Order: sequence, then C-alpha cells, then structure tokens
Amino acid sequence: MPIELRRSRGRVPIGRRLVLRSRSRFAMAVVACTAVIALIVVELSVHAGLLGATSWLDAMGSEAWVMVAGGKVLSQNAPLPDAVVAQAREAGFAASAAVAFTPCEMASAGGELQTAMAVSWPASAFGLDVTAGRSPQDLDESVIDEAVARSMGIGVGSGLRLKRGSHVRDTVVVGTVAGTSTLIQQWVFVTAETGSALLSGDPDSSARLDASAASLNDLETALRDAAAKLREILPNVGLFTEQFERLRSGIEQLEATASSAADGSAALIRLREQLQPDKPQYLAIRLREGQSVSDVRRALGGSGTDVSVLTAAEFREDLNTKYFRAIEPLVTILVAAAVAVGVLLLGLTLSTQVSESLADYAVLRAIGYGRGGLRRLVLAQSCYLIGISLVLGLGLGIAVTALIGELAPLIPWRLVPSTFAIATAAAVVMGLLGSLAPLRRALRLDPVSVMRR
Amino acid sequence: MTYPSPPQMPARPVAMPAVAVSGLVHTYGRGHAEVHALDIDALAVFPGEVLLVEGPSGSGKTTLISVLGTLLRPTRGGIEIGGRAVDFGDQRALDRIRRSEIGFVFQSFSLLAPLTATENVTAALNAAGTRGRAAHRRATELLDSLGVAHRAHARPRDLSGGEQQRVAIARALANEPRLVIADEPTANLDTDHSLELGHVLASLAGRGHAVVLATHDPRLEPFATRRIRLLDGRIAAE
Repeated sequence: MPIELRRSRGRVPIGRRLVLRSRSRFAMAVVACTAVIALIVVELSVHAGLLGATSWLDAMGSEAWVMVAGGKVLSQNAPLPDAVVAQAREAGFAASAAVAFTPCEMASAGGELQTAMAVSWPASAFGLDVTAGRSPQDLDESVIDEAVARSMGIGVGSGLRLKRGSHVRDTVVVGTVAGTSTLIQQWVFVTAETGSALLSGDPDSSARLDASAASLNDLETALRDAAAKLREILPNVGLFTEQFERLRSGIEQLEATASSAADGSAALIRLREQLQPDKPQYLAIRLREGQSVSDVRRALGGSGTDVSVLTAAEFREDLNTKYFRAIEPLVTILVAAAVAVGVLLLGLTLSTQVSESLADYAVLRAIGYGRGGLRRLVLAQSCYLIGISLVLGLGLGIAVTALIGELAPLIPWRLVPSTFAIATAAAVVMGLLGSLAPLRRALRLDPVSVMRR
Repeated sequence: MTYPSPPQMPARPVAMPAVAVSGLVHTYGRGHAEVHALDIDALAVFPGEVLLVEGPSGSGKTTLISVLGTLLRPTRGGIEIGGRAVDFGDQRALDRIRRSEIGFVFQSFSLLAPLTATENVTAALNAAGTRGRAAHRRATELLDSLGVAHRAHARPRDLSGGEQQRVAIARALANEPRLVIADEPTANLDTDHSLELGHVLASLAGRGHAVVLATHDPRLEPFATRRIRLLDGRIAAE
C-alpha cells in the first residue's frame, strides 16, 4: 500500500496530522497565505516590468549616451540641438549617432492625444520583432505596440497623428510590436526622416535655455553663464543665443510689467514650468571600433555642465533612478506589509492549533519528545502550510499578473527569477516568524500536566 | 541508599531495582501555602514487580508517579533508574530516560487523536530513534501481541475503551522500557476490561518489566506483587 510505504520510510507525520486536525481552519489559512504570496508576486512582477523598461538598452548596442540639459540649462521641450548630433556624427568616434527619442503626443483619428515617444530607431535595434505588418520604411509611417493599438482601437493601416508643439505629422500604422508599452509613455517607431520632420518646422522646436535661479537677476546671470558655456562646448550655438536673447527680452518684459517682486517671482515660476526643466534629452551613439566612452566625453566636452556623456549602464541607472527606483520603497513597504499580514495569519492559525492540542503536546513530552522534537513538530506544521500556500500563491500570482496584463495592457509586468526567489524568501520568513509564538507556547508546556488531566 | 525488602515475588530476575528513590520530598507552594505532597524515605521497585500504589485522592499518588516518571522534579531527594541517578537539571537526559527507560499508560490513555493506532505506537518508537520499516514492524508486532492488530488503522475515536487501553499499553512498551507506569488505567473501563488490563500488567512483570500502578481500583489488587498505601504523601502501609 502506498500509504504504508510512505509511512515506513520515516517518522510518523505528526505535525501534518495536527495541523490538519481542523481542515476548515487549515484551508482558511492556506487561502490567506496564498493570497499574501500572490500579492507579493504581482507587486514584484509589475515592479520588474517597470524596471525592465530599460532592458532594451542591452539590445540597442549603444555604448555612449549624451544627455543634454540634465535639468539645469536646457529644457526637454528642446529637441537635441542639431549641432550636437552633427558633432557626434562627424566625430571620429561615432559609428552612428541619432536622436533616439523625441517626446511628442499621438492620437488616433478622433481619439484623444496621449503622451508618446517617437523612436527614430528600428524596433529590431531593441531586440523587438514586428508582430504584424512591417517596419516603417518611408516618411510618415509608424509602428506602435500592439497593446497600445488595442487600447486605442486601431491596427495596421490605421492613421496615427503625431504632434509636437504646433507641428503635426499624420502617419500610417504599418506594423505592431510587443512589449514596449509602459505606464509612462508609449513608443512610436518611425524612420529617422519622420523623426526629423517631426522636429523641424516647429517654431518651438529650437532649444530653450533655463536656469535655476532665486531671482530674475540671478536667472539672467545664470543664462549668460549657460550660454557662454554652450558656446564653449558647442561651436554652433547661434540658436541658443537667439533663444537666450528671446528669453531675456521676455524676462525684461516681466520685470517691466511685474507690479511687485512677488508677481515677478510667480511669473518666473510659471515661465519655468512652461519650459519644463529637469527633463533631459538623449543622443545615442554607437562607437567605432577601438573607441571608448571617455573619447566621447573628451570630444563632446564632458567637463561641461550642460552636456553629460553616460555609459549605457549609467544611462540605465539614470532612467531607473528618475522613473522607477522611486517606487522601490513603496514596493518594499507593500511586500513587508504582506509578509507581516502573513506572519500574523500563520501565527494565529498555529497558535490556535497548539492551544487546542496542548494535551497532545504534553503526551509527546511525556513519552520523550524533547524540545528539539517539539520544535520540529511546530516547524513541520508551518512548513506544510506555507509550502502549499507558496505553490498555490506563485501560481495564483502568475495568473493574476497575466490577467492584469490582459485587462490593462499598459501596465507592464515581467516574471523574473528574482520575483520567485523573493516570494519564496518571504514565505520562509512568514513560516519562521509565524512559528515563534506557537513554538514558545508548546515549549513552555509542563509535561506533568498530562498526569493532571 | 537502603531499600525496604521486597515482598515475596514469583521471580526476581535481577537484584538491581528498576527505580529507587530516597529522601524524596515534594512540596507545592511556598510559605503558608506550602503543601507537603510527598515525603518518602525510601522506595524501590524491582524488575518483575507490580507495585500497586493506593490511597485516597490527594494522598500523593500522582505526584509520586510523576516523580518516578521524571516528569516532576522533586523538591528534595534523589531517584535512580536502572542504578543511575537521574539529573533533573539535564533536560536532554530526562527526555532520553522517558524515551527509553519508562513507558506511560495514562489515566484516559491519552492517545494522539489525529494518529491511527499504529502511528500512536510508532510515534513513541520515532522518539527513541527507531524509524521507517523497523518502527512500523515493531508497532504492528506489539499491537498483534495485545490483540488489536485488526484495529491498526483505526483512530482513537473509533476504538473502544478496551482497544484504546491496549494501544496505550503497546505505546508504553514500544521501546522496551525498564519501568512501566500506569496512572489510574482502569478509570474508564468496565470490569472485564479492567481485569484484562490487570492480566496484561502482570504479564509485563512476568517478562521482567517493573510496573508501578497508581490506582484505587480494588479490582487490580490481585495482580499486584506489592502494595503501598499513601496517606498525606507518606507511605502509611506496605
């Protein structure tokens, strides 16, 4: 008989029998712990999905990333100055250089505008395959994520309007990809020509200058300094100067019309908000053989404060820090809270079980089960309960995560080994901590009580 | 340590007592609330003996067998099991003694409800380190020898009082203990089962076990080879 064979291999499974004494309580505890573990899996999968939004960096193969502005001098509304791009292309170190991303807005016919990022690289550069249709080849062709297309109610052949400032390009969706949708921004793959066309002709597409300053006078000084630095770093900065002059004249107007310092400050704050400082623009560079990121730094004036050259790893960390690491404390708190709830549930279940079985524990102590034996017994119950919950919780977590991905395609999620490792570790912590109180109760039991029943 | 002379017994296989106590005192409470539960100068139980401990409620029977069973640390005095002094400060040693030297038959049998009859016996074997097939075989043999092998897979709630009693005895004997302690083992049994239990205990003594039987059930008296009567914690008659 299989049961007999299983029994005969080792010890009598007393712990399992004790914890199963009340099957309804056991089932409730398993359901609760399963839910806790599933919640942890969902949280971690979504977090991994967000962090995974930078995984395309590996596929892109660009070693150097030039960050212009960095929130100090130029604003993100400014496209990357052509001069920077030209300088990178002409420099001896660059195999290729292009504006990687152009922030814009997109909308289907009759649809609402939503934030997007025009990507002037083929999807294959990010390790992505076109799932339907083809890649963009001509001007005003675009490829979007299939989840985004679903949410917008469009597909291959539909029209997609891209808008940047006052400049609009009406494109045709010629293909879809998968796995690029994020909560923050949707990608639209276009040709380099479309990307450039989106930028050019826009009267607001020229670079703007901004500076952190406490007063109008400070701002003017900062702007002059910034302009001087830009001229030093980039030879063709007439655009910046012009913009600077326009901004200065705006500031002078402000000064003239502001009825008080407070008015002037408020107007300045509004002006700065319009300029959207703190958002950088990036240029991706593929290095020629034998060149290094430090060569790029030297050539583009890495010593300057307005143009930073980052390695791909630094760029990834920069993006993650800006967008995703910020939510890590929240995720940690959520996971810790889930574990705490699990510990409480498990502790209550096992404590109740031990309380109801004190007579059995006393008998076991009387017939020679030592403290180690009782410890094993309580831990076995905990392991049994948490083991089943872990298996069910991982499965439920995966299912719920996939369901969320299906129902809300814009929420990114990714199953990574660390999610399972953390969920398992959380389950082990729950099992160990949840066993402490019942274990203490069992160990404090005086075996002589069996004689006094 | 001096021991009172043992009574005439059918046979005494060895001269060394299975358990012996001397100068044994146990008190509960302190100060004005102090109660002398036990005060015994000397007592020894030899292999082959069935010592019947009788006395009214509160006379110290349960305290005495708790001390003999190493479940209760005496306030004063010593106890030897198999000629070796018991160190009540060494918890591991006490666990080891209870596992291998002593078998308990509790008042209400105290079988573990979630386990089957076989598993109840096997649990005691597991505690002493016997596992797997060997434990299962030994448990089956014991249940067979006590006539309850056919109930091996039944849980305690499905067993009659007599069957529970025999499973409890099988568990007590699982590790071939030197000393078997039974506390009011017939409290829940009818006359037939009580007499049957008496025969089983007597047969254990015949096989060389020392049996200490705390009871005030007169039906068990014929099976005792020696009797002591406790009164206020002292041996009032022997």
